Amino acid sequence: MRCRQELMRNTVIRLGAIALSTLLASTLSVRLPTSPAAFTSTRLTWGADAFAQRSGGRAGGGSFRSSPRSSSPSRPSSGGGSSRPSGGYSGGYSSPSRPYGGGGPVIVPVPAGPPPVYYPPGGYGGYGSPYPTTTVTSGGSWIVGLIILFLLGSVGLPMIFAFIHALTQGSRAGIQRGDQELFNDIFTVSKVQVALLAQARSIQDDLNQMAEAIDTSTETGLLQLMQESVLALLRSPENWSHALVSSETVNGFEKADSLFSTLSLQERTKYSVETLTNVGGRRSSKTFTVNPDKGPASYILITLLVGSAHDQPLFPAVHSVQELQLALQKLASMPAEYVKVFEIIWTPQDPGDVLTYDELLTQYPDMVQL
Amino acid sequence: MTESDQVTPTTVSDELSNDVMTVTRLQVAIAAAESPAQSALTKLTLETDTSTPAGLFDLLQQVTQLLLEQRDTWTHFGASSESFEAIAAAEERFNQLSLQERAKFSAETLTNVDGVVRQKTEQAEPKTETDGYLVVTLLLGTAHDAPLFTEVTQVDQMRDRLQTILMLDPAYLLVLEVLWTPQQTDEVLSAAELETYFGDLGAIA
Repeated sequence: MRCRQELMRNTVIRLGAIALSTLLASTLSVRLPTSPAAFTSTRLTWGADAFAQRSGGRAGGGSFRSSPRSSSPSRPSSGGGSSRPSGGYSGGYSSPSRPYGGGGPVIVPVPAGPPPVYYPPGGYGGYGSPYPTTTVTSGGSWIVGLIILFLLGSVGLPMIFAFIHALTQGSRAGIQRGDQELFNDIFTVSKVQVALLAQARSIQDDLNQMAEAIDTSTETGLLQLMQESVLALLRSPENWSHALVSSETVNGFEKADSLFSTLSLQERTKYSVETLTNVGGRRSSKTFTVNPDKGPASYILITLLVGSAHDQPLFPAVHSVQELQLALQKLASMPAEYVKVFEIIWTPQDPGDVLTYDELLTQYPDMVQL
Repeated sequence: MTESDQVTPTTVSDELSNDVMTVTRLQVAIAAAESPAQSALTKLTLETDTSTPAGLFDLLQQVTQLLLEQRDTWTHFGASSESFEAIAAAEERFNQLSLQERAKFSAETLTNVDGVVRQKTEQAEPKTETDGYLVVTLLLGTAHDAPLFTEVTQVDQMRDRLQTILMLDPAYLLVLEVLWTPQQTDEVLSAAELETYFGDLGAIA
């Protein structure tokens, strides 16, 4: 195929490992505005679009994980505080450091709940515990003492036990529901690939700007990149042409790592020059010579690869615009701590370069027309 | 008030420290022609320090107050509140709601997230119609163990919900997003656009 020579251009943003040990106020927090030029030009090409542009404003911040409780000294690691260990796995071969070689479960958080000191007030206070000791000894009546002990035993103790029981039950359930996925050695590698009609060129500018601006060496930057790129896709469903998604759950960090690398390499070998890369915070760019003989630009192909802590595949195969929308939403909604690796690959990267219909068919034969 | 007593927390310290979180969405469409809300939102966004909990809470109060003041110009409304047992589930839901709303904008022309303000201008196409809508969305992640309210069908209930939000304990507010469209003053959201993108909102008869 002549494509090998021509089908190049592209960008790869690879992000290496993310050490998940921070407090991560990230998910909801950071977002770059999408690139200025981008949406304007989209609109110009949309002639048929009945609706005009809709500018939006957005203000906010905060994080579910920076709630007051994480600063509470009595609950060391229960809710995802700063002491949570990283189970991170690094993406692909380009990542120099892999914080936790094996990844996976490192520490199981201690049961949530107040420390033991906390119980007495609830248990005894209500039942007059100071009383028995004084009355019993001064009165010398061991019968009274017995009765009080009996009362304490029959009423107080069960209540205390019930209280402790409820606490441990509650925290155990919490860990299972909330954190088990994060701490075990099961990972999910998902791929979402979308071919857009070339009139969505603005998305190219968008991605180029993101690749230039976002710091891919931080967890925050990584999340931001993922959310912004998904959002850019979600904003132009009228240009979606073909799609292919997959989500596979694997047991073990090594397997997840190699699956991710395989998928990434598969995509990256489909073009010959990476004209723009931003991996683990290192950027590089190359010039590309446009071949003037190529046909008219037809498509832009975007591939998102995500390695996450999920124990179940994220989505089934998609066949329609709605299903792709759901898959994209699922991807970008995932909690910050779940994201382990993210990579976005797109082609063509150079604005002068084109991906023709023939190239799409030969290089990406598995894609489903929407 | 009629239903502001729906929130019945167990014990305060417990709610704040456990993993149960509540995600709440409040959405109001305003007849844009006679409303000062758009410029007020821009001003608030530019002035608020969104990097601190106090700043966020202040933003929440100001926006809620603004909406309550504009009650006569409301045309549509909608609200939902759900509780989640795990932080991750709540976070995912919040992200999902936020993404859904943000995908309705063609561009974000003003953002102030975690203290970082960004602005850009979009070239607006000349509008033929003058009357249009402004849709304001409040997304809250709070430490409550039970949904803040059940359902909202009447406009009076919507007002009560917003008043509940106004009286929220600052310690409960974990995440906040205020989203509105259109942001640029020369734009309006047409009735057709409102129907397409915000079709789930209930109209005020």
